[in-house]
Amino acid sequence: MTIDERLRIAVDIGGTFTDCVIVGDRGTRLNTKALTTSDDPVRGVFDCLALASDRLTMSLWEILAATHTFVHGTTVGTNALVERRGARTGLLMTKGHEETFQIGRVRQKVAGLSEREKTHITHLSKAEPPIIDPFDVRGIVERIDARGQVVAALDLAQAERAVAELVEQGVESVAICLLWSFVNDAHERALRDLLIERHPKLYVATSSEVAPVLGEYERSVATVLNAYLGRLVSGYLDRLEARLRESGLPGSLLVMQANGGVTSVEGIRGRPLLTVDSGPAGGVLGARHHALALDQQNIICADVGGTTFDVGLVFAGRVQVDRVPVVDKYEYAMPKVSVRSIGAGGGSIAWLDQAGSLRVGPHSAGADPGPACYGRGGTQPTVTDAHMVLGYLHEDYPLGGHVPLDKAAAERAIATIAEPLNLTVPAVAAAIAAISNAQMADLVRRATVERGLDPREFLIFGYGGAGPVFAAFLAQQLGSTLAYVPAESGVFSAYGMLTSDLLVEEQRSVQLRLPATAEQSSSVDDIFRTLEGRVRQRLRTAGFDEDALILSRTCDLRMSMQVHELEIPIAANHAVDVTALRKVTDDFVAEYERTYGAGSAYVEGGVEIAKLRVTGVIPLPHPDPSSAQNKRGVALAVAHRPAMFSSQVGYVDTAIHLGTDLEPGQHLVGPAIVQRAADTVLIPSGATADVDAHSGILIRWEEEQS
Amino acid sequence: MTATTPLDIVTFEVLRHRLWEINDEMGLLAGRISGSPAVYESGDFNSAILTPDGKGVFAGVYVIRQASALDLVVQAVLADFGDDIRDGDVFLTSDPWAGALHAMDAAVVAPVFWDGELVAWTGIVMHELDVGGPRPGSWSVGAADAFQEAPIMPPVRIVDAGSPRRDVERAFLRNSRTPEVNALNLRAKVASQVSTRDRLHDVIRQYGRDTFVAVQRQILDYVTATVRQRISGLPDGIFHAQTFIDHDGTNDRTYRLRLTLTKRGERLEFDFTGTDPQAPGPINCAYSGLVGGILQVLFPLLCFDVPWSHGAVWDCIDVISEPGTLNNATHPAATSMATVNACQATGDLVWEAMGRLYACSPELLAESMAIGYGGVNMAVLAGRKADGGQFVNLFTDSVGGSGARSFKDGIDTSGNLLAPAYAIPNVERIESLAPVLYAYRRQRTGTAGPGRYRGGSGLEYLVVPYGADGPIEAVFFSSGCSHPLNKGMRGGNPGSAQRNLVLRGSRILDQLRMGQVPNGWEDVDFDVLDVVAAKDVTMLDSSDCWVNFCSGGGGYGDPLDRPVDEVHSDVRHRVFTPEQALADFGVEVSPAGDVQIDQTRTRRAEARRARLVDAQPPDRPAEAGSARQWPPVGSAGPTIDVRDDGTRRYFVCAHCDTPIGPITADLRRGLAMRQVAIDEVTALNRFTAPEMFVLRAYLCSSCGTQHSTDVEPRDSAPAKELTFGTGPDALASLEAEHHG
Repeated sequence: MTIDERLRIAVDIGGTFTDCVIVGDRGTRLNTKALTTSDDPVRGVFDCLALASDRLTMSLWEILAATHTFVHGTTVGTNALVERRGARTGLLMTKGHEETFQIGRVRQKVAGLSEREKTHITHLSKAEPPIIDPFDVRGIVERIDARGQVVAALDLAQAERAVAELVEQGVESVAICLLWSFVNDAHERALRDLLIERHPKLYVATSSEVAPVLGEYERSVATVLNAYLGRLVSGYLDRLEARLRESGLPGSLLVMQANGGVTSVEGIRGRPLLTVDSGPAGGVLGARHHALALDQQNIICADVGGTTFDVGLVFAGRVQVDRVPVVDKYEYAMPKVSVRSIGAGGGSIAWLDQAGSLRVGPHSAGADPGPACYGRGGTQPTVTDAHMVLGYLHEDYPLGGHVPLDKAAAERAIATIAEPLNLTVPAVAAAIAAISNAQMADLVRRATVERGLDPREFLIFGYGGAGPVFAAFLAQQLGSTLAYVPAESGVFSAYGMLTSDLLVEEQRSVQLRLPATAEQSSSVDDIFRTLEGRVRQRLRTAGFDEDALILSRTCDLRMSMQVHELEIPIAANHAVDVTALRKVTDDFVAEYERTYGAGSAYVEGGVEIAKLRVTGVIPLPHPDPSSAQNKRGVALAVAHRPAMFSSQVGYVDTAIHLGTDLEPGQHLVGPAIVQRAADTVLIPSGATADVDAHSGILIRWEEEQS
Repeated sequence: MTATTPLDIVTFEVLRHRLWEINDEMGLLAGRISGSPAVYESGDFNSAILTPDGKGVFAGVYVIRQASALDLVVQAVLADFGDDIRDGDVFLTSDPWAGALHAMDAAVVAPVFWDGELVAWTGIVMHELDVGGPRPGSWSVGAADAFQEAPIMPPVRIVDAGSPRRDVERAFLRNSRTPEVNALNLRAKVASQVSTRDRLHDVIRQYGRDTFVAVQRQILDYVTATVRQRISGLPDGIFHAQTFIDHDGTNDRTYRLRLTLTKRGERLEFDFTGTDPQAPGPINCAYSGLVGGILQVLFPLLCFDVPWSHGAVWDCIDVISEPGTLNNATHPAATSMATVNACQATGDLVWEAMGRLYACSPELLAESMAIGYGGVNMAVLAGRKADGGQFVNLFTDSVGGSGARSFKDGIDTSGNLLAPAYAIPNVERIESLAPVLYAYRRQRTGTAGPGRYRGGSGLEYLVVPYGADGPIEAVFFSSGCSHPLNKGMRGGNPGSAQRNLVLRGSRILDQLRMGQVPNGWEDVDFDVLDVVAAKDVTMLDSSDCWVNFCSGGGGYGDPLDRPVDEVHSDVRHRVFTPEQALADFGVEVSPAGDVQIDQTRTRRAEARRARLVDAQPPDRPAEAGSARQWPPVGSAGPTIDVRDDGTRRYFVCAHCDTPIGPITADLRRGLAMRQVAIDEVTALNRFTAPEMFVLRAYLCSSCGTQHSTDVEPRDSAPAKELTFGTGPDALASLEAEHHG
């Protein structure tokens, strides 16, 4: 790098590895990986930076001093949730409704489970153990009704006694969630003020601030999780930011949020829950950023690891969002970039059931022992073993650049089921791969179909260690003609974090039946203004300049009586009036029929607005993903090896390319395999590919394939 | 149809997964855009893909009984329309004698054609909020026959070769109090049929017509083979179950349903002989409800790891039932409460008999579970809101706890497990739809069934009219009020009964204003307590509170075997009162919350002896001596061994090695029997009918261990429970197997 090159750094902590990506404004591109240090994740971050310092032959101070953007994705919150290591949290709810959290709308017993798990009804249970001990929940005497009118006044003396008991019991953090507080937050505010005054050391979260939306259960979960994680996440981030500053970082640390934006450490303090599951959001953003540069608006983001398969969606350039995501059986009211984890991937085990039928998954060999070909004692055949036998993977190229592979072990494992099936090992390997490709495609298809989308209109963006092996097959199965594999797919989520913007969202539930009167329209405008004020306030608190702020407004609409809503944009640059709301209604009906089919809308039943939302974005400069300009002809192979892409055709001689040899603009014709430093890109027979300016590979299938 | 060849393994597995996904997506999409809370919040719907002759290949995972009856819908359409079924048609019916469970479950099915040939059917069914009839919600309290209920729609064409029949749609909506919601649902259902047909056409285009037809057959064969294998691994035997429905919707009378389950080789026979004739009220179900009631339990219990193919499971069982009985009622029986009465009761019978069978199998013991909340305890409230608009609200948040398992406690406020994806609405949601205020909604102490593993707790809530314009009409359609339906398994006690109460002339709003939030309905200041009949209609004035509490699940195993620390924790978590801890578990919890371990041991020994004092001795004399030396050869549950004395096999008490009796005689004949009035079992049973029902505990005559319990009519002979072997031949083979 040149001495005055300015850097952007992203560090993403994963379960096993901490990934670091450095991108300079004059062409420097570097990534490093270090083991995640769960006891103190700060160490893993600095291990990554130390490796970068070696590779760049610059001191850590020099690197950080040249860095104008440092984004961090952390799993501290997620891990604390899963391992129940958060703060001992008390919960204050309206008396009579204090068991809401425990009852969990009854559905808690199946929330987030696969269909198969849901139907094994003799083995269900609610979250175990619960995040909050039932003894740490107190009913508070107060009641507000649906219109926001006080039915029972807040009994501050009783509340004070209740809180004193909780503090006595050892509670360190308190969540407050009262009925109808999103309509009238007076009681929640009074309680919060009392707590802050009497117990200044307590961490306090109120539902009217965290998630002012209808539905006391999901609102209470969002509030509780924030209280549960508040100290822990902020403490960690404060420590990391201080260390980075001491080491030379001039600016602030930016934190990746699950809603797809970043904010400052100060900005995350009141919303630590936004760090949960934020890593996968980075990947989706990165995929969007890259694909938009390829003029692709519809993207299926397939992040395939050894044992996990995460699917995200971008439609018409917009990242798809879950309004009520689930973590560990808890459904919470806080928007999050939609990423579905699917129990499939390279580790899925192939087996014969009682009827002698070949099945693949849902059981996985996991990371340990892993597939048989890892040579770590695994004996059951997996999809990765099938890929080894089919020639997709090779012993000369360790997996991820560091795991040696053992083909004989893969063959032995597959032989255990080939014999009873009376088939050859390659035939069974081909069968396993075909079944796994089709199943993964089915699961991806569901993610699109459930939103009324057609997967054939999507680009498949494959990343994660195993994404490049699966991407072309997924596209083929889904009937899509395009798949894209970025360079450095293994650290792509970290890279994606550099493509996000500062983002703050505020929303509120309303109940407004359309068409609206002029008076109702102006009250909608008032609420939008209030939400905009809150967005500005939060950005100021987080320490950002509002000059470049872009505000946008959306409404969630539904047919009267429905609960499922569609998000419809409304102009933010002029006041909401009757005309604007009429247009929103028309847009909603169009979107509804597009999603659920022509003729499905029944407008006579009425349409209503259920939520209003304001999103504030301050754009950050992003790395340039522009695609190749110059064609350099067909790439030359360094070797050939047999690989099987179709059981009818059998093994075919396949060109092997080295990733380091490829140059932008080069063209590849399948069957071909690209061996890169940490992954393997498959270009099956019948597909072609082009290398872009950033060493990403765009794979094309012919239009009329089936 | 041309002959088909077996598919290669890849095609079979790929298509199996694809069709399953397509069926799930159909339900998912339609459920999402439905307008009834029963559908979108509680998942009261289901979808299926069926063969050309109407055998279900796949059912969805929502309310299970809904999909299993779609076979009958398709068969009815085939019978009614014959050759007059065309590409692009969609059919609608709400006729219980054409496969719907009751008039509110409007089913939509559509043929899938390819090159002019019928190659499959798709179907979806949803519970509608109201389809007319005398009562809001269409649960027709007081109807003596079908003519007094909501109109029934026999199979009609709702889409004619691709053109929607708006006239038929109008006819269907005309009778409803909630036409907008029904219209949204109907359109959602029709749209889902069209998109599913397109998806299936994609599959046929890719794999060919022959493969598509062959794969349906092969899926059915595959599931049949798996289920038969699972059944054949279970011991042969005869397993009995009985249950009762209180109130028929017109009279406060009690009805009995019986089941004798015979497991023989690779088949299960369900014989409902002995079930009462159909009632002059809406609790009956037609044959559709019988099928749905059986399959809703068999799917999760037999197919927890294979596809839910109703066609295949149906081929593995025999059903014996007499037309004209409660769960096989003939037209014009009233059936509007079928789902939550005769159909649910059928499910409870199958659940209990299968639980007893599975308890005899080491491999499937973990699938054996006590009965939980299921006998529904709901109500519909209807009236006018302050703005004059009409409202009809089905209160789907009446939920109980699940039964205990052989290895773990039941789930608190689980809801009906046969609708796994069911969710109750938030209080805020209900208060935004209906002019009511919830004073509280909590888990109710004392609802769970005691046992070695306890059942889950049920919910209680109190609702008061709030801002309604005039009185509110309340329609109740409960069961399990005069006696608990949620029986214990293998010696566990039943959970509490459930009830609806109306507190007339309450001062609840004043109490709330003064900050006095009640902990239970007992804390409310009111004038008159109205104990609502199981099926009832009443008006709520602005000061009348409606209280609903639901039963918890039954316990599993003898409560005296529950570890003391677990009982202690139950009291601390207010699952049981200290009084119950002492009476049912022999554990004394002091007011300070401590327990005395030593005293407990003595107290429990005394309690076991005390049980035998007023018990009736066994029917047949106990076998002489101890079975300590006899080798175990099987089991009938965690505390009952099957042992062999060298010539015969015996049930043996695993606690004290006392032989109970030969396995060829009913288990209970060798047990002592103690009878307790049903209202004395737990304080919450104070509204039950003790003159009619008793709890019978069947005890080891030597050590007093509670091996079995039942809820039975006071004046009836003790009910049978289980016998191994299914007749002289089977018995001989058992013996031969042993000696050979």
